[in-house]
Amino acid sequence: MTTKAQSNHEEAQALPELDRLIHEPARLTIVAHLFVISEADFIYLEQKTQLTRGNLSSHLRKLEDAGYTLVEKKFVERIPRTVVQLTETGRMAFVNYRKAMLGFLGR
Amino acid sequence: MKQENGLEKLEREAFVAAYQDGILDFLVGLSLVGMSLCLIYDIPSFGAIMPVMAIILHPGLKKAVVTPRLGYVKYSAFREHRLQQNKWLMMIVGVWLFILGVGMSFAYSGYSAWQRWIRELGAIPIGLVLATAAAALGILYGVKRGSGYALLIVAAFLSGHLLDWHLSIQLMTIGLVLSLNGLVLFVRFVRRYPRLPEVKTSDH
Repeated sequence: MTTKAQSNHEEAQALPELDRLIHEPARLTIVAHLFVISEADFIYLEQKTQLTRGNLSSHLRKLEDAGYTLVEKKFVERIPRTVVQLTETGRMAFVNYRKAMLGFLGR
Repeated sequence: MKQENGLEKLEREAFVAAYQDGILDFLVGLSLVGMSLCLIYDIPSFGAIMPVMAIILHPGLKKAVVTPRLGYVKYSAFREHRLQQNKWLMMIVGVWLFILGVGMSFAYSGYSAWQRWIRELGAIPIGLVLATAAAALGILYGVKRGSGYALLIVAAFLSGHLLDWHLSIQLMTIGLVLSLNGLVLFVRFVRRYPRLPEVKTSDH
């Protein structure tokens, strides 16, 4: 038993340092959706993530504060839209998070 | 076959969602039904108006129904590049269809051996032209039902030729299948993507 507990403890210690900002499920969904496209508006993200508007806003603000996303208000085909895109920092953070998770779970 | 990972699936779904509204299927189906009715009532020249109406209505309906529900999305650079390539390929398919069309009109303008042979084929060349367009659209835009439509068109035109049907029956059959399927897809799309209230700039 002691050996098993010790092994579990060692494995838990081997868990890589994860980016907590991305690790949260709602934000992970947002970032994953943004990672595979160039940019999208608020409605697209609402539909794809199934988050409420308030929730989505709050998560996007956290991501924006960390410099992971860029939120811009612009006209697309003469319609005002709030467009969100992942910044280079955000893309790198997601790539690193993915690597860390794959490395850990793949062992 | 390479297994698709979660991110690849997300990317494909983001792209394909824009083609799952069924509007094009419905409009094309409806124009084929219209063309068939024009043939039945012996006013074939009106039949030519039907596809033009579909072409005019399609972008407007997309803008009015799809964009407010699905939202705006700009695809990845890779996908945008593929879309650009698809446009060129579709133009090549269009030119090929045009050449076929011109060839067909030549076939009906004389009585040489090859022209007689083409005439014996009846409506099959028209079916092949339609099937090629459906298959090309399906393959290039990753919409699986395109190949299904192509098979349906080939089957309808082959049976029409073998059973000596009037062209209107084949057009009506294909048109009804396409418009009904388009309607089902449209209802599914509207349910899956309900219209959300407008986003005010102060919302976030």
